[in-house]
Amino acid sequence: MRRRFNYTGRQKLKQKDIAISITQDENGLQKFYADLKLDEYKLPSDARVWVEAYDRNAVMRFPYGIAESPASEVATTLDAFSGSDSYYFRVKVVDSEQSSRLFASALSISPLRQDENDDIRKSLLRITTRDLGPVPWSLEFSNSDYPLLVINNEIDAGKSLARSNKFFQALVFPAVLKQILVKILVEDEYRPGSEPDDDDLWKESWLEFAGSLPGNTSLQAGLEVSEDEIANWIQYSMEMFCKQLNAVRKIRLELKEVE
Amino acid sequence: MRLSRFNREGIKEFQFQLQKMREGAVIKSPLGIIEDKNFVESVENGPEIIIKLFDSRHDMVAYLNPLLVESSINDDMNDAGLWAWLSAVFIDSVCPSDDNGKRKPKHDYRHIPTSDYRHFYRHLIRGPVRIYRLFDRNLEESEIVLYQHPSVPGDFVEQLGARQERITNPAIIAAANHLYYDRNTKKHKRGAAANWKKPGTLRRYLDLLDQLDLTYDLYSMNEDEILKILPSEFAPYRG
Repeated sequence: MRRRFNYTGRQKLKQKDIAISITQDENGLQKFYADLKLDEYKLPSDARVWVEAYDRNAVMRFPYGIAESPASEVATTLDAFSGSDSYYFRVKVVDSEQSSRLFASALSISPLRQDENDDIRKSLLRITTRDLGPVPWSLEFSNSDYPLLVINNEIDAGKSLARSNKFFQALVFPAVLKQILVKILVEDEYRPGSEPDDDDLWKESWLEFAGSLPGNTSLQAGLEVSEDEIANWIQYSMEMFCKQLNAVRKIRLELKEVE
Repeated sequence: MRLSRFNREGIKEFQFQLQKMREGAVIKSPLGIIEDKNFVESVENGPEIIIKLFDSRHDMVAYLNPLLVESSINDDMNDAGLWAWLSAVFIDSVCPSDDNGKRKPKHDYRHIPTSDYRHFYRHLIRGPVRIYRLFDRNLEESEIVLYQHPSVPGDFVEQLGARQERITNPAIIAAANHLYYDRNTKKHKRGAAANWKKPGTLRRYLDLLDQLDLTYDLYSMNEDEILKILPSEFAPYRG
C-alpha cells in the first residue's frame, strides 16, 4: 500500500470543514459560495485565504478574506468554465507576510451542485465528450483527480446521456462503478486511511460512496483484507448500486417490457 | 475570406487530408476545403482573414487573437471547428511543405482540437492563442513559450504546457523565461532543454516546482520570489 508523509508542516484542511456550492447568477453564469470552517486549525488569524477553481485547462483564483473570517472579497463568477461543469476547487491558507508559505490547504474539492430536482449532489464523476473513434464511452483516471467519463462526441446527446438518460445510466453506470473500485482497490492497491494523502481524496470519496449504499458496509481503515474479500466487496457494491438504481426495471421500461 | 469554422463533415475531411499528407500526397495551399460550403459554416460577425506566413508562434497569435476577440465567439477555446479551420487556413505555417511539396502533419491533435486535456496546448494555434491571452500584459516574459516556429513548438512548450498549474501561472513562466530565454539570439539558451536532469535545466526546474508546490502558494509569488528560492544549481542560468 502506498503511503506518503507530510514533512512540510502544512496542515490539511478536512473536507468536512469545506462546503462549496454552485449556483447561477442573474445572467445564468455559474458562481460559487464557500463555507469554510477554519477555527479548529492552528492558523494565524490574518493568514490570507484563497479559493481556486480549476479544471484541466484553466485556473481561477479568488481572494477569500483571512483565516479568522473567511469571506468572498470579489464576485465569484466562474466564467472561465463556461459550457463545463467538470471543475474542482482548492483552498489555500497562505502566510501574508513571508514568501507565500502555505499554512494549510485542501485539494480536489468537489462542489455541491443544485440539480434539476433542486437536490444538492456532490459530483464524484467528471463527464466530457471527445472523439473516441468506434468506442461509445471510456473511463479515464489521473493521479489526483476524480475519474473522467468520456462520451463519444459523435453521439449528439453527449453529456446529457450520463446526466439524464436512464437507459444509459442503467447500462453503463454499474460498469463504471465496478471499474473505478477495481482501479482503486485492485490496481492501485489502495486501502482506506485515517489521514488520506491529498492525491487519494477522490478514492476515499468513492469508497465512502460505495460503502454507504443501502445494504452495503464500509471498508474499515487499517483492517487487513484478502484479495478475495476485496473482489467480493466490489461485486456486492456493484449489486447494491444496481439495486438502488433500479437498473433492471429501468432497462425493461425503456424496452417497453413493463409499464 | 471571412473567419469561419468547419462543420462536422469539414473536420472529418480535414482529418482525411491530414492522413493523405502523411501518406505522401502533395496538397497545396490554400486547401480547397476552407471555402467549401459543404464543409464550412460562417462565424457570426467573422472578420476578414488574410492568409499569411508566420515565422513564430508569437507573430501568428499577435495577428489572430485580435480578430478572434473582435468576433466575440462564445467559448471559442472549445470550438473545435474554428481551430481546425484556422489550422487548415494557415497550413503553410503550421505544417509547411518540403522541397517536394510534401507535408508532415504529425498527430491530428496538433491541427484538430480534442477535449483531452493532455493535448490542449498541443494544438498549434489554439495553444499559443491561449498562452497569449494569459500573458497579454507581459508578453515579453512569456517568449520562452512563444518564440518558436508555429510548426515546431518544442520542448519548453511541451514541458511547461503539460501541466495547467504551470502554464497558467505567470510567475512560473516569467521565471522560466528569465532563466532560459536568450534575448540576444531570441531562442532558448544552449543546453537548457537537456532531456536528462542536468543541474539547473528545464527538467530540474519542473521537478523543483513540484516540491515547492507543497510548501508555497506558487500563484501568490512573483517571478523574483520564485527565482530567489531556487537553489544554486540554477545560478548559471539566472544571469
